[in-house]
Amino acid sequence: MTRLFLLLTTLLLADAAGGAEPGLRVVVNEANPVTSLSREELADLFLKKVSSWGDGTLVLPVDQLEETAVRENFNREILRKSSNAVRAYWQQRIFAGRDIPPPERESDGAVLAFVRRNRGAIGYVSAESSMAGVKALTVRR
Amino acid sequence: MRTSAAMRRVTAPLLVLMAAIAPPAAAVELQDGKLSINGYGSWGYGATNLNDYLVAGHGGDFDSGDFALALTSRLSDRAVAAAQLHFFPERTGLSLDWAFGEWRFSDLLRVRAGVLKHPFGIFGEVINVGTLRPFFLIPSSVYGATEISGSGVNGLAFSGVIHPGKGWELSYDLYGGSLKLHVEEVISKVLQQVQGTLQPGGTLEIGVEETKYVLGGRLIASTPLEGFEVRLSAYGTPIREENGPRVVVGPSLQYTGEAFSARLEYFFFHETYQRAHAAYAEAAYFLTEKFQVGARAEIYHTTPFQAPIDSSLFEHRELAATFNYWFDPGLVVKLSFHAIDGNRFAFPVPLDDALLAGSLKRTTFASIAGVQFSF
Repeated sequence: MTRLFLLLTTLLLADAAGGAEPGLRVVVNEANPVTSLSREELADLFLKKVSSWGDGTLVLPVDQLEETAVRENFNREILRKSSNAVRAYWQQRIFAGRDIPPPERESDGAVLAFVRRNRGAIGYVSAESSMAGVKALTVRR
Repeated sequence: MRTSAAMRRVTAPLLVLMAAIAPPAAAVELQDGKLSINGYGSWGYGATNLNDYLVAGHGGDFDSGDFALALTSRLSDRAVAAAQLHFFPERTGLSLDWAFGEWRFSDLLRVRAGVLKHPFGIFGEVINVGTLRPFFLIPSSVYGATEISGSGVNGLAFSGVIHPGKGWELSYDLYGGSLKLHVEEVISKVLQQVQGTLQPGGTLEIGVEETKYVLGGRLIASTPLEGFEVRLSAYGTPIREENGPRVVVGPSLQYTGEAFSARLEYFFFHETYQRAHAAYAEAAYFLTEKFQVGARAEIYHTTPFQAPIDSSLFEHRELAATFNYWFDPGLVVKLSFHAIDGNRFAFPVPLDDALLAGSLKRTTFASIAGVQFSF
């Protein structure tokens, strides 16, 4: 019983500390004054629960394709949902006429190009991607 | 009538074919995400031991296919236009589900005007989208032709969301205009029976009734427990309504987790001619990543005010189980079994012949197999 308690405590503490290194970077347009976001704030932006930056600029989230490892990582680490749960969330929003999901791009390069082109854009790319022309955000956990 | 039946014979297999070949793909996204095309559909076969029950017929029924296509366009940072066409050959033919323009002042205030879905309960806006629920059939007591949930609102709506912190989220909908309700005149039918005016061959038809000058709203509280939310929905006709005042009110509880989901809803409906109670509870669980099982209990009762009469046509009690295989979140096959007591939704066709002969039986067993998809 004590071992089970210790194991559960260890797992809970590991989860509270943020879990594994996600292997991705969150990027915004260079003109965006924001430098960091909490995990919850980031999730709200990508689920379109919050639609504007502090200065009123429209938030334009951009996703990677569904089957990619970086998208799976983002869903798990930031949205804390499985891919299926994310799809169910967007189906509910779409067919209720509430909103549509962020556009998807097929590569890190395409996401970076979208973010460079749009002032309110926010995306995520794999950790090894070049940050030229965009700004990487610190994600507070 | 012949043309309609022939059309159904052609369209149902077409819808099946569409369902079968529909790839589990994402929506079509155009113009940098400013235009999105989505759709959903379903087809099912249902059979019963006795009475017809919704899509399930005595002797088997293959005619339940439907399909819808939705277009959403972000016209500018603040303006959105959207429309959805729904083709349901067995019930409504080709109809406009919604078509509206929306202006987004902020997250706290969005205003939309046009033909809107009814923001009501858990499923009011997505009644026909089968991939958003465990059972092939939506709970009929609340979302069927009982005048509780509307099929659409023509008018104006306000909505918004607030984040008070600590994991809470509060959202609201307020709407006004005319409400379209699916109606089945069971009280008139029973009064005809009492008065001895039934005609051989007569039956119950589902019609669409418009209730004008409706005001309503819905509050949704998403709790810090991820996936758990509480809803309160209400609408009425406080200003003017041809058939007298009408009020509908009720709470909804919903939990949607990765493997387990559960819902509980109750609604009270009161108008000049009747008072009704409708409730259901359902739960579903993914035994594996693809295979889901679910159970549902449902109850409905209406009391007419015109005369002190009671009838099994005023009652519905149901226990149901479903076994689903999800190829993808957008494509599922479902097999469900239903044990029904009461004739509110389960009755023979033509109904009047059974009432005249005194042969109406109140217990029905139904099984339904079908496919539902969305993209």
